Amino acid sequence: MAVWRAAKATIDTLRELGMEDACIIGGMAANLYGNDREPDVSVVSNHIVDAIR
Amino acid sequence: MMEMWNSCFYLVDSTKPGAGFTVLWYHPHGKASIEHQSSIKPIKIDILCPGDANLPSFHPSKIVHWNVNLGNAGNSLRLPTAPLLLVLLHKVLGWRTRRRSSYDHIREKHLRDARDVVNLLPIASRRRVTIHDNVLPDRFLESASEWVSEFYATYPNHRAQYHWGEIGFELA
Repeated sequence: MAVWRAAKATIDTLRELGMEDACIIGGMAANLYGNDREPDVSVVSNHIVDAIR
Repeated sequence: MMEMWNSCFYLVDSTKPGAGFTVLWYHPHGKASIEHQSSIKPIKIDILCPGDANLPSFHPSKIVHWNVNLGNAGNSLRLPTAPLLLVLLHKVLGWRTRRRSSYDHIREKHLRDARDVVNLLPIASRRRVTIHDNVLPDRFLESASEWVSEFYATYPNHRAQYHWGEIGFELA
């Protein structure tokens, strides 16, 4: 459960920072699609690139 | 920026020798959990951007949303994920990159990536995911074709060949 709450907190915080298109990738996304391995949290955000540029 | 906005996030210097970077962690009690030895483990967070680890940009309409049930609490979380094709190909790339690493602790994780790919491949095939869905840029898919060929050469399998073919990667 903790890992899902961490993912949700990450997504919500990125959205509050204006990065509304952030989404999950990696093991956690694989888990949601049906892979049974316990995931880590990886998030991809298109808008972070814009912030860096 | 994350740690300034939400105190549950905090940065810690990497413990890897000579790494010279910080790692983002999450804990419901924030950085205080380090001193107070909470029973809840902190969770490492990776935030990636297009361009990092060869990740391409994709249109936000391709994001897939999931409701994750938290069980006895009776509530659920709505979580957005990258499209399955990208999740799968990103795993293949992770396998390829880690397999070539000169660091033992990184290289040993390539087998975990391989298992993830083997599990995800039939799921993607069953969901009728294909490279012709206009989800990912052609340039990324051209590179991915090489990664998939390398993966298949390492783990040749008739069923896998069928599934990769269904997705659009023709393998000899």
